[in-house]
Amino acid sequence: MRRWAWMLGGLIVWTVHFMGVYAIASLADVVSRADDPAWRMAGLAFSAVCLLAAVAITAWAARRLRRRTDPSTGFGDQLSLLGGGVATVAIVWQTLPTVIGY
Amino acid sequence: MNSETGFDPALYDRFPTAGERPAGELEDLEKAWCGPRGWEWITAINNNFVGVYYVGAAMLFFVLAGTLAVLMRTQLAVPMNGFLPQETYNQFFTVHGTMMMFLFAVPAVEALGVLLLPQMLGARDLPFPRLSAYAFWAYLIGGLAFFASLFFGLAPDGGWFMYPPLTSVAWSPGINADFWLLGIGFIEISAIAGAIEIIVGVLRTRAPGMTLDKLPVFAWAMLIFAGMIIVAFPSIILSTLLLEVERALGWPFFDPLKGGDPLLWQHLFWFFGHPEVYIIFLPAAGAMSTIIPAMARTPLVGHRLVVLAMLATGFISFGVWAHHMFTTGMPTISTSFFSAASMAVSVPAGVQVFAWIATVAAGRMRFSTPGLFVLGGLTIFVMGGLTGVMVAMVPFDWQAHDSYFVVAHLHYVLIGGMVFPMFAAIYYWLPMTSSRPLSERLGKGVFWLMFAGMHLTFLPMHLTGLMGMPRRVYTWLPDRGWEWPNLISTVGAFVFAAAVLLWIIDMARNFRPFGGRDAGNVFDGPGLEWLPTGLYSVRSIPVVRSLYPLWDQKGLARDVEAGRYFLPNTATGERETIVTSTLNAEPQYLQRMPKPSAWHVWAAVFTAAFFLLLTVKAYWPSVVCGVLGLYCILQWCWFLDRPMAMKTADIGAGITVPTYASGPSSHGWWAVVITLVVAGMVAALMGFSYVFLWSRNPADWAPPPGLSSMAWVVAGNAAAAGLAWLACRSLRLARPRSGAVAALMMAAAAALIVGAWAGDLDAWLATGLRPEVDAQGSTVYALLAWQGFFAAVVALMGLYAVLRWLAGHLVAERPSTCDLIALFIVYSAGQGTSATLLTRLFPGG
Repeated sequence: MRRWAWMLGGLIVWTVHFMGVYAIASLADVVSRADDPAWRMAGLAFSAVCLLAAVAITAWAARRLRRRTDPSTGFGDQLSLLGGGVATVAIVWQTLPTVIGY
Repeated sequence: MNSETGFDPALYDRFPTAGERPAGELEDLEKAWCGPRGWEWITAINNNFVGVYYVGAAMLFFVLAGTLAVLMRTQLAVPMNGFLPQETYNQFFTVHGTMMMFLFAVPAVEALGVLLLPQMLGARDLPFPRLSAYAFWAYLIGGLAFFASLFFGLAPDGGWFMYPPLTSVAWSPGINADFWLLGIGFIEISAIAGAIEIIVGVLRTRAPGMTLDKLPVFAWAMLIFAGMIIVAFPSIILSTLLLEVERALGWPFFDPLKGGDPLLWQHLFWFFGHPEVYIIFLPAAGAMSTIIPAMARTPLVGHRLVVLAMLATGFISFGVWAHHMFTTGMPTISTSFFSAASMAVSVPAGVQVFAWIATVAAGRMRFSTPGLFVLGGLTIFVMGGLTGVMVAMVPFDWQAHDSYFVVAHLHYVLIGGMVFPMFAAIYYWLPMTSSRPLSERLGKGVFWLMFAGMHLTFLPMHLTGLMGMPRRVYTWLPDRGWEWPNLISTVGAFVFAAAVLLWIIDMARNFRPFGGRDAGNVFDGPGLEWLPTGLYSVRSIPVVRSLYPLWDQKGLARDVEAGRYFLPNTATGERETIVTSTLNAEPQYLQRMPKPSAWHVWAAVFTAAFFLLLTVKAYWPSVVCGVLGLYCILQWCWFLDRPMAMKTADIGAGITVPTYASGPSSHGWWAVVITLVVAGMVAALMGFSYVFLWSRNPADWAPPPGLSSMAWVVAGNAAAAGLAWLACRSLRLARPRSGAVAALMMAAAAALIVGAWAGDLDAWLATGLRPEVDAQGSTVYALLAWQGFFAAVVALMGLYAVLRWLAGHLVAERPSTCDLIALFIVYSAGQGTSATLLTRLFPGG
């Protein structure tokens, strides 16, 4: 299960992010307003944490791929690298409504 | 290569073995895997039979639902037409959509998996063939009963997504809506059973050496598809349960007058409904990624990117459900998040499309029927994808919502993304299944008629939609400019129907009981499914060293057929397959496969009868059928986990593996864990419903019972989990009374789960909260009812453990039954504790 989590790490972070920003906005809607500035900042902070996690996975996977000695063992790391990369771009994209308005 | 399980990969070098195989081996294999005779075809469980039945039934439902579509288009051909009465039309469009989505699209791709995966993975069969057969019979009986409701005027008429309040008792009295709610809930259980089979099959029964980078892309697609079913389908099961309970017992989940909210239905439905689109699309995309390289005679360009794109589609599909709800008044920032996610989903789909185009460009494409269908599907899907990006934009969606534009969009996506690939798959793989190819001449006719009919029908609908024609109207007024587009759409529907008719003729011709049957690998396919096979699948299970083994491993078919690889015989004299590890597919143990019996068929019949009788409110006969169904399932389980004559077996070239496994390395453990993930999803979504309804009216929420009763509930559940764990440990001590101690501990654990649940229920009853009064009551008692169901199952399991011990089947050498019951008890304890903590502490007093 650990190796599956590693392979799918970036995509898992992406999922946590898009569920999280929606949950934060919904919670804000109950407590005050969905677009309340303080809650938007909370959403932004959450996005930053997710982005860092996605970048870290990408960087770590790239490092592992550079250091590998057996070319047949790279599939999981490649998947992790690609997934982390996709997650990085997607998190930035889905944070834009918070950053630039909507 | 690093070993995952301690197996030495150097042992693969012993294959292919040299020399002749002993005489009689093949005959033994044929005897163990003999086909059904006479009426035994009903009880057959081999994927060669069940897979064909399954695909056949799915295509039958496609034809039936398509017939309804043609009748609907006839009604809509001209303004103010009287061909179909309004009520009949409403039933037709509801049943058409429901059958296409629930009885054709998902089961068809699941069926394709059941049919193809064993051969594609080099397994004798999938690990739970009886479960596949049960899922098929449940689906067939439930589906036919659902369709038959049309003939009695009892068919549902609230649209395929059954929004309340239209489907509440006030607006939909009678049992029409109940047919949908109970029928679909039941059929989805069958889909989940199939998904469990596919996940465990792909992860645990691959040919040795088939590491994840050599896993066929279709198998990847089926794995992701099945995983998505496990996460998404609990949502539809829960929503149908809640609406049915509201209709039958008056618990107000969706009634705003009592604190419910119809939007809860939309959230639950679309959390299932949008991933459903990708659940349908991904296996079809997997088929495209398999067929295109074969037809273009070159490896798939960007294989790893395609795998990643499918995984990414699987994940992001759960983040776009609310784009079906842009017009419901959600906060603007929330719609912006979902709009962004909906546009992002086109990226992984685009990766696959470009990979297919690049493969076609890189190879030498053959424009035979499967080739035409994949290219046609690609074209249609891209067109549907483009309108998908349009409706992902909130302002455009506001204009196009509930208009014929959306009807055009969804049909382009589903027909291009699923129907055309399905036909490509049928034309491509049928020679493998029936040993006889379909007609190329007729096939090309089918393609061109279908391609033309599809565009004629749905392209004008973009215009009718933009001109303001709403969907789901049984007729329309003249002089609105909709005459020509509607007439053309109707003509197109008939052209499409002609294509399907021609295909039926071709299929009837193909399955004729006379003539030659030696098609072989007609398209020079590179996958293991094109190896020569019998009812036992491949004669010997090859070592896989390439993603395209038949292209890259020279002489593979000859050596496999000569029995020079793994398991060239029946090592134990019974039906069996090799279970391998999840990542590197290293041989772990030999699984004994079940033989045909009637128990699963009777179980399916009684389960279907239980739901059908419940729908028509025949409660006592329904209870009787439920008990009989349960008895059949227990009979089926009773013959599992029996003694093995041999503890180890030679699976070829002197390599021996155990014939039994328990715990996380066993296939049964995986199946139970996946089942519990389904249960956990239902519970989590029920928790979401509780919080969601609280957020609608937080001031109306009453204080929960005192914390002292909560402590007892938590302590009872914790003690049950501890006892279940201790029962497993004590059984493994292998002392003379280990079985008795384990059985009694298990029974005590079950009693504690029941006691904790009863304590929780009692505490809530004492507060005066009632389920029919308000939303807090309905959600709290729904959580209690769900836990009560688990408490009942756990009680049954405790009794089962005692019976197994009395029959001498609870022994240290075979701890699987004990492990699996313990797993279930630990989960139930966790679920009960979580529900209690949620309802007692949130929002608290």
